[in-house]
Amino acid sequence: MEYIKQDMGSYQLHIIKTDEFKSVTVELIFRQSLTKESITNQNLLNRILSLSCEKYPSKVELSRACQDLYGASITASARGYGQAMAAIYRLRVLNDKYTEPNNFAKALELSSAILYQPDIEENHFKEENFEIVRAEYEASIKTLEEDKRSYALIRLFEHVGKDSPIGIRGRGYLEELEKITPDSLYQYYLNMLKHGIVDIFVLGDVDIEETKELITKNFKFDTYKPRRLPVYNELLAPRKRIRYIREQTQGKETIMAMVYLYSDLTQYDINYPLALYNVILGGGSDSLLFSEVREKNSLAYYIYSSLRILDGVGVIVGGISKEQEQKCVTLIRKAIKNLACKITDEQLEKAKEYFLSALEEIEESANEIIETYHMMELIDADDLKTRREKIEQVTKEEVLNVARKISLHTAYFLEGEDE
Amino acid sequence: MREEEIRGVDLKAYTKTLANGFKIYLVPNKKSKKKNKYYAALGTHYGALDIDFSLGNKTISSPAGIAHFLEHKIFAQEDGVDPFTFFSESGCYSNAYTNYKVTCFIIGGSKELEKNLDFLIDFVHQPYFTKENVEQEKDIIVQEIRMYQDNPGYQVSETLSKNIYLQLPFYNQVIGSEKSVRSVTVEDLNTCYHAFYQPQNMFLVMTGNFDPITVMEQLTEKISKFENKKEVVKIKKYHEPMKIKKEMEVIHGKVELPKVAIAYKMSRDSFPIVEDYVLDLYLNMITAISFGSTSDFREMIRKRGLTTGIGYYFRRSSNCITLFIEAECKTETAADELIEEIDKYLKHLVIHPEDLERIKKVWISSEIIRSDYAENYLDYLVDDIIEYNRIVLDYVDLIRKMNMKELEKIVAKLNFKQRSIVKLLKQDKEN
Repeated sequence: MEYIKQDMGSYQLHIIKTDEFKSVTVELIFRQSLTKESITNQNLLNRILSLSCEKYPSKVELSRACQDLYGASITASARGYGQAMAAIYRLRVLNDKYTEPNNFAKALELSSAILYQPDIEENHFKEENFEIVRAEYEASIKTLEEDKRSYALIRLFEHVGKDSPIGIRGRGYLEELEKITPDSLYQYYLNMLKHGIVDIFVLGDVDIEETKELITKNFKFDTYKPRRLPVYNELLAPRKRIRYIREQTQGKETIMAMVYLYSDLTQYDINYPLALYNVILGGGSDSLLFSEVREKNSLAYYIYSSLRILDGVGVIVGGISKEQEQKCVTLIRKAIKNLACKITDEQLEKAKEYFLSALEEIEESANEIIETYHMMELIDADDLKTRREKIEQVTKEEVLNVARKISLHTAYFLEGEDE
Repeated sequence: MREEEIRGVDLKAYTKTLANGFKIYLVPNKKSKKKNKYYAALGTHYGALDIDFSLGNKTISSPAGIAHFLEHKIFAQEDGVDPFTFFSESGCYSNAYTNYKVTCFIIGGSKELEKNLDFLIDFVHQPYFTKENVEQEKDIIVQEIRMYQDNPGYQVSETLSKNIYLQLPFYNQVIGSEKSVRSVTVEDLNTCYHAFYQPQNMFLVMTGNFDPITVMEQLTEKISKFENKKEVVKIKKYHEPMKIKKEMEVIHGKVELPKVAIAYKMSRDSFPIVEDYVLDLYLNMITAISFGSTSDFREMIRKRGLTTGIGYYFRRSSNCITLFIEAECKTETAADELIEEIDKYLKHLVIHPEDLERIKKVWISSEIIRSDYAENYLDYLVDDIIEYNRIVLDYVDLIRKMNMKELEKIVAKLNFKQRSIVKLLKQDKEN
């Protein structure tokens, strides 16, 4: 594998040359600040760009054009990264070796056409197209609550991160959607092209020089841009007592979602000992929480914890019965308290293996490899090799030190109905 | 051991059937410097459909959801070694799943292949059921049932399944009901375990980074020792009548937008193609062309705003083929219009040759791209084993050979007379 990164003035180009995949993956990433307005506009824009373009002015025609390139898949997504938001345009297409000469070049041209020659009239998106995607997007926002687990997490972060990007819904907002018009969306689009901070990643068995040429030819950004955006969210203030929030919904299951905080940790502590701590606490089917809450007490089918280092928090989620709320909280508090006193060698070793295995997993997926390089760009994350080396070296004392700085902040329950 | 090319995707399959009937399928990656993961699935042809069967001369009727219950309880071991813990010591992931036709135990790791593979076979081979650990599991499974039942998509498909099948136990959910799960006894579990976890009913599939020769030797030695029980299991055979139990049902739930699901039931026997895997390819091609993103029908319903999302699939089981279409709509009126349009469209279905050729190209690409992802490829191979009792080596050729003549023969036999509809509407505040 060979990695080159080149400053192209208005964007950074990253080429990851590898023969581990039979397809080529290209990601164009635009970063801007995350606000209610930006995430809603971005989601709608992604939908309208994916619907049609000037050359292929309907979904059917655009889809056929993709299929003609041996099923090239071109997708658009947007998500928050702490205070920042990334819009990701991804092309995946078979390597020319498996198709025909110039298929990759044509797929890049199509991606470029989707991005640069949208289906517009007189400086606005076409009304008809706008209405189609607006209605579909509106439906997707309205049905958010149907996925109870995601909804509980959204509500938890809205309570915890009021007035902070932590609380912003990735799905977007109806009240923001109402404000958007075909004109304003077009202005948002122009603004993204002009002011978004751009990274382009290419991964596959490609010729480096040829790829540079193709990218330069197809993707032009005429403004010079600042290189960095703040990413990390401001840390939440710890609480003396856990805050309890209860909201009601229909259905039987109650979702418990909790936020825990860590304080006074160095970047190293967060990236390594804390990562191991979280695995011991609630990563996978062998964690302390899984064993205490599910295996020993049969209180949940699933329970796990994960880290959101850009937001400075850990999250614990489980599906439980309403009448068992207090019992679950007690078990979780006990688990956190116990870990602050004692971590066994066995726990530490297993957590390291878990972490190393997760690193191996990254190598299996083109998207994950690109995401790793993206994070290196975004927050100076260590590369995979360094991460492997550093995790092996973490000591029990370092994890214990972290374990003593963990505190529960908020316990949110999305409560089902009584029996 | 047989060594065969999986044509067109640069992979080889190493297969073997042991004397006791156990089947092994190994599909390693090409030599790779970076990808170190191996994935294995140990499966038994035993799923939620197999509740009624005979064992020797005994006829057995077991509770709904027992295959899934058994899957949970296989992890209980007499010596107290927790399989999750054992695997996690080498960073190996472990999990299991049950569907209507199969139960599978999965591992994925990058270290200690020999040890982990050995343990996978051991722990599935010697579960330990006690009254206490069975009771304990019931609360966990009930929690799992509630999780599914709160999902509107699940509510729709649960109702629809009950309304279309008269014989085939698809009317049960894979997980069973709270009532059936509460009724499970240690004896039930033992009976079903001994009936279905026999070498002749089981298989192991592997993908990823490993040496097939060494692994085949290890597995052969290990699994050849297991013997089949004397009593032969016979699963009840079903002949599903081509009738619908209920043509329309409206249910209410916590949804913002109405959801609708339509099922068309037809007879497998009416189709001219003998091989299931070829028929399945054509049926899936017909739905991809008719309802996929490049269909004119899809464009029409999108432009008219009849749906905010639509999905479709075929299910083939014994003598019955069912086409499912599921959609979300802005209003109930839009849902009704959509149903009417679908009905009209299907009854005059016309397929264009250029659509067939284009989607063939896409499918061949998907075969190749898929072969890069060992974990997904494992699932894909398991699907073949469930449906066809082997892995299909020549998908790329089969897709290439698909043609209008065959396709039109199948379209001509499609029958949309037996239809059932479920609508899920928003609960009124007063209710």
